[in-house]
Amino acid sequence: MIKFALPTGALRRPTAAFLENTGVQIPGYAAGSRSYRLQADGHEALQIRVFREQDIPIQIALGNYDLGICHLAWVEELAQRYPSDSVVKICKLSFGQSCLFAAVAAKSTTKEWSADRRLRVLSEYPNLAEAFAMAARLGYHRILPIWGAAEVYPPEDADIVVVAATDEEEVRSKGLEPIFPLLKASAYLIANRNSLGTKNLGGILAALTTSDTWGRERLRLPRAGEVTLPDPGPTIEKRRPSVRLALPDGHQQPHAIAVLKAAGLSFEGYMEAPSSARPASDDPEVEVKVIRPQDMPQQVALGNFDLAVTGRDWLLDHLRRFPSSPIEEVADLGYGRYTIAAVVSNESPAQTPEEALTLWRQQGKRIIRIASEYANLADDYARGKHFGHYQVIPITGASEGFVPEDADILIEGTETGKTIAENDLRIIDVLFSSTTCLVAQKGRLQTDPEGPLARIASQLATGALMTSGASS
Amino acid sequence: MREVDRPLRSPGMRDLLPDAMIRFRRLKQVFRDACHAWGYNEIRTPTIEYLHLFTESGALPAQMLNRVYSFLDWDGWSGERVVLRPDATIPTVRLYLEQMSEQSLAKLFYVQNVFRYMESDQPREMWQCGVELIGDSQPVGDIELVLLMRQVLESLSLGPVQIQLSHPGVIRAILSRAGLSPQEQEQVYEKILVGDLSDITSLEDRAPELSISLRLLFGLDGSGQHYLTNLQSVIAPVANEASGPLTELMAIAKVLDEMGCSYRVGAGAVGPFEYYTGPAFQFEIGGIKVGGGGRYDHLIEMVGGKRMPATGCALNAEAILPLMRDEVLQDAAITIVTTGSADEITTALRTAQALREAGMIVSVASTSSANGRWELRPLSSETGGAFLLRDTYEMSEHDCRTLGAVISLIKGQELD
Repeated sequence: MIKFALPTGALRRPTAAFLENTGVQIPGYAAGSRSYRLQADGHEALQIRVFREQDIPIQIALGNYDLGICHLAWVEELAQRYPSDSVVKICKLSFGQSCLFAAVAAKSTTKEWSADRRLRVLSEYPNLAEAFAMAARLGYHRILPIWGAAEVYPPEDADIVVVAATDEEEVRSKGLEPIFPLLKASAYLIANRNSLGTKNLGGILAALTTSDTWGRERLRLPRAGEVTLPDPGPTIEKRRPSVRLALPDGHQQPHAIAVLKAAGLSFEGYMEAPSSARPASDDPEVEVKVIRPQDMPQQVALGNFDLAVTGRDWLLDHLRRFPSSPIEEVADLGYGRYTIAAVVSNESPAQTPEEALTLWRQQGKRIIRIASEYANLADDYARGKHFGHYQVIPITGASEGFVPEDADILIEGTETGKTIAENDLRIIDVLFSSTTCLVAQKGRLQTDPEGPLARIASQLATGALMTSGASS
Repeated sequence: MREVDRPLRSPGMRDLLPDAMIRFRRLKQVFRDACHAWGYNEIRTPTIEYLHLFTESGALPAQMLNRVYSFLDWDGWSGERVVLRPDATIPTVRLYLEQMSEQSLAKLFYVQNVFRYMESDQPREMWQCGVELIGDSQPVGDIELVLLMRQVLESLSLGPVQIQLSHPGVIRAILSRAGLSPQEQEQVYEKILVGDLSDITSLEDRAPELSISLRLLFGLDGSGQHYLTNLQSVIAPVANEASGPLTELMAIAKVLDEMGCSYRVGAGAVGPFEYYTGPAFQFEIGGIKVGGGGRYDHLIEMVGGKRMPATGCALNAEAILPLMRDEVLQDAAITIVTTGSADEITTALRTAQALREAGMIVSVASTSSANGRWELRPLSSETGGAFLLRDTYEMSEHDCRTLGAVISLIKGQELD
């Protein structure tokens, strides 16, 4: 059996096309099947599993999969933090070309609102961002990992971002100015070193490695002094608006729009999907940015935003990791109800986490593998349930496919339970119920109960109540 | 010992067994005694420091920065990373700036661990016996540290101590004269710092006028003022910036000669730190590097203070401990064996206390498997005797009617 990890997301279609051209047909893959386990026609020995791209190098490194396809940037992201030779870069592939750049805001002061002298380096690729900052000897800096939308943050909320783009022009089109090219690369075929040394992968390797896939692409890190931050120029005196509001993108956006409308708030560029990253506000006291809900708790804690519309799941995950973070829920907006649950395979007879633990011990499992997008909640849960020797596998999505082969238990958010059932899984414990909520820095609303911040928070809470009443 | 399919010990971490601990404590004691005698005071800095202290250009070199254990603390929501102390000098400078900067002279020492990631099971936690002299200008401070560390090493009786002197300013002057850009200098210098001299040949091709200087500097180690004079006469005409550093070395060499302290002069003695600005020194025993240090006049300014001279040096316990003689483990000389009632245990404990007060090392155990020579069993009155003393070396047994008889017998035998 050869275990092959393939990407979901933007790389899915070009990967499917490439595999078809090489004679590997995987029904359902190109179309975006909800199943994460697929079979290739005529390749019975090939076991396909679909992952978020960034999780693939980790799975290869762990030895859970023999082969995988993902962009080189994710391989380097893993290697920078965990230098190991267990992931072998077999060859570059003829698709998925993109670059990684360190960039700053175009035409901006790099320190416009930064309250201290620390440079804020922000990226979806935090390990590469840290390697860049270290190599460039940036000195007093902070690395802020985010889930996405890095381009939205400078200049107010970040000084430097490490972003993916097809070329420099695309970076500029996002209002950024590239200052250093870290990587220009394509998708890569990667393999586990041990698998290469012990398993017969010859057939699939021969099919996938063609003459146009030779050549190597490398990460380039700056030498000391090679990166010069642009001269900030004359400081622009810009008054900070009273309310900086973070709104969610993605599947939360339609709900948020309904609440905004009911609250009598409207931000041009947000009220219809796809939204602008910086919707316009008629109210001079309010400024809006659209960022990922996962990133909002930290951004509010940092004081970059005064209010954010996010899920309680992400708030609690943040607080499990940083208990003293100065952030709190100020209103339950009531929609986007999720159950955060412990989930195991239907193959397991366990009805409770205690029974599951007993079974794992009887089976001689040395390490309990617990996979989750909520790595901090999962860690807290495993500690609280006395799992003993356990391993948290942080993942970025497609989690239902991990159990039972690549994890023993999931900490998973589910709206209807449908995807869990479709993947032959079962809930054995409920951690809590999560809804969308409004978060702010602790005590901020009380400091000026009549001010714009309290007013907007109150309007949003009322809007949510009205929306909830209308839908019930 | 436990048979395991997988070690429970984390890779790169070391257990210190009793015999190693005895050697470690002796090293620490000798080091502390010497430091106190030279007017140094002990400090301890925290295990966790801010990462940014170490990332400024000129602090830790890039290859060491890539090996630090950095992470977000429980209150690290702001993204501020912390680090397990990868070096002891920079935290000492931080301590000086925050706690002692009103003192124009600080003579500090420490015995503490540093953490750096290493491959496989190479040690990732290293113990350093270090001294930092902040505020004293060269050459007095440099000479003091060389002589202090030599005294420590000689007191440990590890064998002849070889001292090597060097000066990063000499290497920097030559690289600059070879026409390397500042970035290229940085790259070559970082390689030299870790002992990689592969670029030296290409430097000869690039700047033939430096050939003799390079050969003299990297090709051989000389000793004494004469060798330094030779270096000065060859290097100064082609790389004038080396003249000052060589003069600094000669000032140190002159005093060491007068003090009867032998040394060698070389290019590769500078430790893997970017922050050394002046004379640097390294200590070896039997070809094993056991310590080193140097002058770091820019570091305090870099960390946020005013510019002031400073020099420091550390001994590496991991290198020294294997060179130290085994010492006799202080196993309990006497084991009192008791398996009985609360009364019998009480009797055993009281007997042990009396023997300890007589200066003996005593343990109480329920089995007779201890390592010491003597085994003592308090006897009940029905058996007639007070104590049965067993000599496990001579395989003999003695009835003793009093504790005084036990003590006399043991002391008499051990005198034999």
